Amino acid sequence: MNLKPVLLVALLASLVLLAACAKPATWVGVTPGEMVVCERLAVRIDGAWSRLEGTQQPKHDVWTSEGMPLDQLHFYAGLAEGEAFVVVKDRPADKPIPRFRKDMQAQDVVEMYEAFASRDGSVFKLEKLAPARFADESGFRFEFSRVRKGDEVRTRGVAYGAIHRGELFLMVYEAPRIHYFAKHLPQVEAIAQSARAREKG
Amino acid sequence: MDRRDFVGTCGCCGAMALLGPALRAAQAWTPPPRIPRPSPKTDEGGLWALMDREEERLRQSSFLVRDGALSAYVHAITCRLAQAHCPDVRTYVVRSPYFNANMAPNGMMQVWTGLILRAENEAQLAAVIGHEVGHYMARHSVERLRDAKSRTAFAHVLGLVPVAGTLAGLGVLAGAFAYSRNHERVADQIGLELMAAAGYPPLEASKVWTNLLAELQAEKDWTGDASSRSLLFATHPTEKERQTKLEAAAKALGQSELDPRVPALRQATAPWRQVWLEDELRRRKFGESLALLDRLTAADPQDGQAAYFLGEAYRLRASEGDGERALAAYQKAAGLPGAPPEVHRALGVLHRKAGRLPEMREAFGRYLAARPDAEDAEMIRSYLTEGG
Repeated sequence: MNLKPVLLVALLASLVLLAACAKPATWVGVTPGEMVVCERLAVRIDGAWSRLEGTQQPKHDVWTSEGMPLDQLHFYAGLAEGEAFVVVKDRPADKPIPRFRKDMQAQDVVEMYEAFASRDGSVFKLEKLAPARFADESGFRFEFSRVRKGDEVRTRGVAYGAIHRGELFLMVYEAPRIHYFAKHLPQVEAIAQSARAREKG
Repeated sequence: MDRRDFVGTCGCCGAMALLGPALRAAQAWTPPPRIPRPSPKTDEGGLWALMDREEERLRQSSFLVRDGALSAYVHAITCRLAQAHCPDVRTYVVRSPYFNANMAPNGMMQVWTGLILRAENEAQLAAVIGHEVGHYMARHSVERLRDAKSRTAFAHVLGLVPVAGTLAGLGVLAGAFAYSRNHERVADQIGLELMAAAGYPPLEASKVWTNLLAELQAEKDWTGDASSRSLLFATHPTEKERQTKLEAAAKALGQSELDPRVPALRQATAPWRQVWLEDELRRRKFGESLALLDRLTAADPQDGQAAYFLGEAYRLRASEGDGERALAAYQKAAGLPGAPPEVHRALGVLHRKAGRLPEMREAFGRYLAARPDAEDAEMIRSYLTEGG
């Protein structure tokens, strides 16, 4: 194999990507106050956040305060049985992707997230898992640390989750261990405390 | 493209080549003299300088396993094989659950933890390292550098030509950089010679290959997909043929009575095995993992740690009937030495799901007694209050 086919493949891939990104996702400022994430999770926001619009993922919202990849706040709102943190299809390559099951316990959800967060070889470590109220449910809260494979940045994360009427609601905040994690943590905790599940409209 | 791609050597070097004709030459083979550092003005010197920078990055990497005893153990194997070249080689153990090892032309050798985990004995680990040392002694990377086809690749490595996209990970373009069949054949030949000279039974080299083939087949059976993502098999299309020829060549070399050193490897890796098995399952290649764990539990039926992870693999795969298989594996593990306390947590979770509260309490109680400060202790304690 020489490089020419590789370059050709790269070129084709770029074209496909360009076509797919005809409507590129863009960051839009979030207005402080009450808002409903993915039409399923009502939260109260204080502080300056931006959310990514146009991601084609109706049950996943991603926010940032300082800008990616410095800090990121992910919401997964209303994942149903068989769904995953990414859009999965019925093909062999997707078979290993962990999917939500409504009989999952807190540990199972953490593990499902861990598989997602370490899919690129990043090192994920659960630091704490404890019961917590979230989205009107007896849910759980977990803390983790991660060494990102790509840039070897050490991050910390905190997440709140609950299974509400057979659907998963999860909110995950992650930022570099140095400075950024602590900076936005109080706001994130306040958002988690304010979260209320909304029934399907 | 990342210049690290150039370190990718043979992509994954359990790669054992066609040895039939090579064997005759092998009998006359003697190790070459030590390789002097090339002048920085030469192309080879430039390549060394690049690799030196990579090595500096590797030394800083969070993925480098900083365990003096383990590194010393693996380096000692390298030295037994490399003989006079030992002072020119540095061995780095890298935390990555994939089967891989590689050696840069400047003597920087990486051995990935997924490879060490899979070795059944020291001889099998030596087989792969010996193959890499073979590439080094034969200076294959220099030949590759001077090969017309590789010149463009080298320009990319130097960053002279922009390449679209990010190609993360060593070996992604292993195909573009792979050694020729002839290089693989020569490295196999040298590897077997070095093994025999160092006192390892050469036949173990083909067993490495047999085991990997079994893992690949198991993955294919499970997903219905021949894994194109495997570094190993992407660059080595005639694996079955190679395994057969390698076995024949090793048998011709004889020395099957040599000790493959099972306990030495087990002892050196014991402190890390649990972490590596956890990393293994995070790959979510359950066909491969189950083949590996079946092998580990068969090799030592009294190995509670392997039995526990077999249960974990079934639980995580979650296919039809896997819940029962996981439960059986956990129950077996709980009665064996070496099972981690997590086996009781795993049992507790299954009992809780099935509504068996007394059994759940007993299992969680045993887990908390062993790991009162576990990261999930608070969550587990909350379960103990359930059901009155």
